[in-house]
Amino acid sequence: MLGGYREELGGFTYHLYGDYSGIEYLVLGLPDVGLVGAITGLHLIRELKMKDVVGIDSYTSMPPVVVIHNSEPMYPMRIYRHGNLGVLLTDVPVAPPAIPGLATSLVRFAKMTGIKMLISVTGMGTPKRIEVEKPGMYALAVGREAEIDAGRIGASKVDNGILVGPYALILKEAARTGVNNLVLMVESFVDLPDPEAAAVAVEAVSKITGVQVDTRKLVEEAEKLKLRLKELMRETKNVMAKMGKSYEYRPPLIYT
Amino acid sequence: MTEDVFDELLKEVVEALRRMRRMQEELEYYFTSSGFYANLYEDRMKSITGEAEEPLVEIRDLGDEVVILVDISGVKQETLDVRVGDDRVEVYGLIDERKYEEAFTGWHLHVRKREFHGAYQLPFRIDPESVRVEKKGSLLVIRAKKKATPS
Repeated sequence: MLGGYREELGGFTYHLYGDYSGIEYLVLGLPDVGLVGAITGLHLIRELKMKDVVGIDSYTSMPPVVVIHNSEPMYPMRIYRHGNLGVLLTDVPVAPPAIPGLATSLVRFAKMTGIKMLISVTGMGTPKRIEVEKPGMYALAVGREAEIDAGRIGASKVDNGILVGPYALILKEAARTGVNNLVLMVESFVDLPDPEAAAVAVEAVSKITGVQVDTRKLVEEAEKLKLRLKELMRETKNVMAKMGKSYEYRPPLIYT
Repeated sequence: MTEDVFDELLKEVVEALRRMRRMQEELEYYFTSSGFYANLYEDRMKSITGEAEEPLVEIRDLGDEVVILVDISGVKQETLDVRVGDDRVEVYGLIDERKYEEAFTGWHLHVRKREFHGAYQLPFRIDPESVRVEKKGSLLVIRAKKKATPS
């Protein structure tokens, strides 16, 4: 829906039209490598029949877009809620110049509303992904609780690397403002939607939040999902190239 | 003392406004000069003019071998035709209407394309005799050995 009380944060307008209080974990499903985050967010919303409670928009930082679902107009970026779990989903990839504003505003929103942890979900491009039956998962954490959860879900640590994009800025802002942020990176394809990788992320989110979600449908309906997400993947590929995503595939200067 | 505090505050406000203006200019440049909207419009119009749909593809250079992954979601698999040249790969097929009807509704269903066609120029030469093609789920996996460069 449109409307609601408005809060201006970092150049973005948060339209608060639903009950967003009580969200402890906010899963960020921004379009990124393999659309892993977006597919994870989409699956959680559908399986838990989550309700949209916050709309996020910017007339200057986002394309002029209204999304129509079941004949109802909606904001291009939305937060959905089910109990203590929230999911951020966007129909439009974030343009590189808008990333700093969005990252800052999301962390400020989390701080303002008492969200305990931001869970950023993305893919990690792997050359041999096609050989892998069940993709592996890596985690990066800032904040004590995020570090504990990273250990609990059995994710491997990222020893060395570079993270590029909105999740990198959100991580820095979270560290600066004292918000817990856990980045989950699942081995995936880079330029192809990867529902199997998203299934691994959904299992991890279930373990962290205690909200059980079945991932079978994600794998069974993979082809249908990939058809629907084809155009978003094309747009995301374009945006990833422009934001310098290729930096993630070279080692950092200081290497242990 | 009070004037200094207000001066500082005013400077911060002016700087914040300058940053916002710079960000607005960058966004405007990004969306207009890079052809973002123009390219998107052309791509979307292809749905209506009935040109072939280009599949998503990922090309992986594994040293002596190249792996080309083609997303064949929504394609009638019995119509797939893969053609491999020295430095080029082409994939043809027909859209599976039943799969599209399951995935889309309304307007999106009516503007889908009929054919599936992707043509990919490779940055190196491959040995066409070494090409192996297999299907994994809704992915077409094309493997080929790179041709050795003459010493």
